[in-house]
Amino acid sequence: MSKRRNTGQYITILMLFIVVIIIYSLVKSGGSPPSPILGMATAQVGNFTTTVQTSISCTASDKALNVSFGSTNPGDVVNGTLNYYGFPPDCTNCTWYNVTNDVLSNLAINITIMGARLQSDANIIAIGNVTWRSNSTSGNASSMAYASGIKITSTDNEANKVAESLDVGSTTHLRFWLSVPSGAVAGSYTGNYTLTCTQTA
Amino acid sequence: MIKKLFFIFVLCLLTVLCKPALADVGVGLSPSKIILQIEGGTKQDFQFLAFNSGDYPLDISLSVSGDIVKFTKIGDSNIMVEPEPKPHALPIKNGRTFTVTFSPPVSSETKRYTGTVSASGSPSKGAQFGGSVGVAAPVEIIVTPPASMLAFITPTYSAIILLIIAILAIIFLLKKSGITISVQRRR
Repeated sequence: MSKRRNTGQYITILMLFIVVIIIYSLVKSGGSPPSPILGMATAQVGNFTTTVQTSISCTASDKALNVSFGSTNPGDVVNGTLNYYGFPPDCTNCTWYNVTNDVLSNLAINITIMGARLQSDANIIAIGNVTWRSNSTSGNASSMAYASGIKITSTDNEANKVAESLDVGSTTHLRFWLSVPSGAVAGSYTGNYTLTCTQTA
Repeated sequence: MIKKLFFIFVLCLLTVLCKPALADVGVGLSPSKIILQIEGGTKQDFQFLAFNSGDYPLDISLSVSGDIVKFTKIGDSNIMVEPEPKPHALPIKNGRTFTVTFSPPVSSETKRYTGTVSASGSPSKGAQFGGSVGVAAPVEIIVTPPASMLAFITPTYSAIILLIIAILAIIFLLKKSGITISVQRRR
């Protein structure tokens, strides 16, 4: 019996405590003394939202993707990109071997190159025998020479990019050379390369 | 005779006029870079948009490389995409979306995995030195530890636990029904 009475007392005290807390909260929220600034200052949280979209796109000329070194002899060095054969009205003394950061991009891009060896049956010409150079204009820059050529590698060459920070709508022009090894065996060799575009970090 | 000559002349003329024009080849990808935070042991899908900035329909190959390969799957590895209408302008009209699913492993600490999702056009056929052009989107996955300890329990562990429970249940039921199993050494 005394146990029940104690329990009842504890419940009563707890309920009174809760009522006091509620009354205090109501008094506190509604009964604040007036501040020196006229009116009541309020804070309203607003949201800002945006969706950022990024896209990159590379377009290569048909000629750039179909390079032919023609008929060669062991020991030859051949320019496969037949530069400066463009004719008016398209262009004069320019190259049709190019890749563009298409206007469907909204970012500048880097372009890297890698390649696979040229092969004829079991006979191989290593991809390092193909060299390349690029230029931001189609003109005959002094750098666009075999002596300045960079060897194509079997993985993307980050140290020597075809183009770096190429702006949207801008074009880079390419040349390729093949150095036929002196011990090359006769045959029809085919190989390939890949241009990879990524956004400039 | 004249009719034959005229016919041959028309054929030759058609052959010249129908010579395929030079066609540019281009590939695009959106977004061009992603960084995701994923809880280890969970799956997250992400959609990319591949589009064709060239002149003709293109068979685009999709691939994944880098650290993320072991837990990343692409829905379709090849898609045929129609070219964007000219003049080229955003937004993309004829692009195709593809889904990449990331399922990073559970880890007790935060780990970073990097790789790329690439879209490339097919290499030119028949060329002596054929080229292909592609775009690559860098991907960074930040894998966080799971919120629940249960995530560390693999299906194998669950099977072992269930087996143990089943054995104990069988022993208990046998005991209840008065059957005992004992092991005795042969003398």
